[in-house]
Amino acid sequence: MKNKLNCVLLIDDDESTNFLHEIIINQAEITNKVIAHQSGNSALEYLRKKMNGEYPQPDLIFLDINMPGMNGWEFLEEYKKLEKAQQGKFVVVMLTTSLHPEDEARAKEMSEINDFMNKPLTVEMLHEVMEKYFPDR
Amino acid sequence: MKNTKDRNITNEILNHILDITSGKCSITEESILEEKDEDLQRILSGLLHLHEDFQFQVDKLKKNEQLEKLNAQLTAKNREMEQFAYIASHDLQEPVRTISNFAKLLNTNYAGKFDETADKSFKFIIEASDRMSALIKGLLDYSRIGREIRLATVNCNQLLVDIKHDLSAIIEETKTVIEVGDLPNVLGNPTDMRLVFQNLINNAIKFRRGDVSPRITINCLKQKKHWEFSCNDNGIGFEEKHNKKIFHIFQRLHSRKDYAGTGIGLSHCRKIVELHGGKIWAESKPKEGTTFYFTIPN
Repeated sequence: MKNKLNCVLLIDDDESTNFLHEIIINQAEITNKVIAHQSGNSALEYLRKKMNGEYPQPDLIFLDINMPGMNGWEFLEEYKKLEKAQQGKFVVVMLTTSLHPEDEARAKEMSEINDFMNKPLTVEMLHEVMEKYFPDR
Repeated sequence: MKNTKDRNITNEILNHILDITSGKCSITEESILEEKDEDLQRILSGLLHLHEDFQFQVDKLKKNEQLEKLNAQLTAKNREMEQFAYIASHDLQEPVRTISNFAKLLNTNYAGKFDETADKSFKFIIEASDRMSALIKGLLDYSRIGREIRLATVNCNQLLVDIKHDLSAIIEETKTVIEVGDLPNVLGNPTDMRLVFQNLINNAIKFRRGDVSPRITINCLKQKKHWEFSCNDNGIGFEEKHNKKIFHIFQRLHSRKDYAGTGIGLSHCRKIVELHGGKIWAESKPKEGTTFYFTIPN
């Protein structure tokens, strides 16, 4: 890999899943840093806050759908409202099981979602994501 | 001459009776009025009534048959559910316990001997298997509610005294004040009714605000057909859009890190209240408090 990504953001309420995904992402060696948030709200806060004069703007956001309080869909509704400079580059939705038929229609309408993946993420899946969305890296 | 006429009438009547027994009838209010002979009019109108009665009884039998069929299906489904609960409790609980036991064994004997990732992994396995045990137990309890419908007079005032006594440790620890108005006697399942109040009080204490000590007020209003209970608190509350979701099984509004729990308590309450023929709902304002309402028929 020529150039690693700068930042990958994980949004999942389950601490152990974030822990596992951090390990896998680090093993895949695709990014300089991994940031994990356990709720949509704290992830939004992170995206809105400038660090050293710049928004964090993660290259990839892995989003869980089934979360307490603000779920993945509700997060995306808020995410839409962010300034372009605050949004990440690509959003991948992570699923525990297959998509509920009701949600499938909803997902199709969301231009913010770039891809869907089943949990847990693996090194192979991450390399595929890299080839698909960052072919020059 | 008269004889032939009589015979014709007798035949006509016989035909009508045969029609009626096979579910048909050509007699109408109009055709009766057209008939000149008053005696025959009376006979025809009697036959029409007979037909209507007959049809009514046949329909009733058909409906009963359908009901019996549905009832049989329902009984079979219920048995299936019980079987499911049994499988959940025994067959699922056992492998989970094995995972938990061995993770704890590994943790006790080997923690600190590998690296930090290994220690954290032990911790996650133990936590997750314990949580799964709790979820399975909750699911089992949920499926058991209402299996035996044993109704008795429940003295709600006494019930609340008992619950306060049971929860005295947490009430003292959190400096909770519980005010109970004059509550009625209701017809219900005592164990289930207790669970409803206990869950609502436990929730009110669990979701307290950090800056004020919890204050819970329990009251009851007599409505036309039911008692309307209310349980008000000064806790963290929630946004209105969540007021349906909170009653669904396993639905939670907060991360486990902030508030422990399986997301079963309020779905239990809903199932119990609905089995008693009542309704449950909530009104809430974030950072101000929540009022739960439920009704029990009187």
